[in-house]
Amino acid sequence: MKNNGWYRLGQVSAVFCGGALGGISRYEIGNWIHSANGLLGTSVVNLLGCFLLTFTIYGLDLRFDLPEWQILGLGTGFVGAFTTFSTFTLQFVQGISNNPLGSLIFLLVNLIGGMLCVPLGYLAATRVGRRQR
Amino acid sequence: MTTMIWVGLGAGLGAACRYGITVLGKLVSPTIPYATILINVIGSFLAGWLTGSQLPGTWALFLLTGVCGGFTTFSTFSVDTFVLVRNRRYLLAGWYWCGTVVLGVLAVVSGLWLSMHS
Repeated sequence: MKNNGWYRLGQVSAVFCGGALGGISRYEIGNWIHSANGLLGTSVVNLLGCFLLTFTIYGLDLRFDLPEWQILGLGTGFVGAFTTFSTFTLQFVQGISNNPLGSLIFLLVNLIGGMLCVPLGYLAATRVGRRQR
Repeated sequence: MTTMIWVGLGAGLGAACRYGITVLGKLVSPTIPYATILINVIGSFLAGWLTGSQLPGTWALFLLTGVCGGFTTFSTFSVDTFVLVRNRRYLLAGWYWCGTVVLGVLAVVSGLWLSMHS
């Protein structure tokens, strides 16, 4: 039953809808922050997304025991499309000739910040998940 | 409002493609995130190529901000690395972390180069 076509179609639809909302949110946050070259917008979105992804996978799932399509829609769809790797590498390359130091800082903030936000989301998730037990 | 619809449509399509490739990638290797590497590198290449091609506004929103942005993912990349570290596969985690960034940057440069020489 788990592998039939309708079940798969439901999962893909959930990822599509979550992804659409995630992309729109990324775009709106980028417009709203509106920094020079959008470096700040990309960083905010990526770091927030790193926190949210572990929080969703470990925390929300543990606490509410969500069905698979909801986890897929929220995690793979929304948070996955909310963050972006292509804009991150593109902005780094575009900035490197005019502002090498700024670009390098942008690269490191995203990479190292991401590796800090992931365990932070995980820590927050274990707290949320534990409360129920 | 219409700009939001284009971004949303593109990002939804990108995310659905990413999901499909990830499902296939898990069949190849459940532990090493080959699919995420492929997705982020291909997406970076496309982003470079499309940027260099200087698309009109609506197409740039749909293809660049939407499809490329929704297809590639920074959060899964970071979580993949974190999971490898948690599983004590430190060397692999280091290679994956640095490797994806180096390949992604090279992909953007190749994409930009291709758009200027075609």
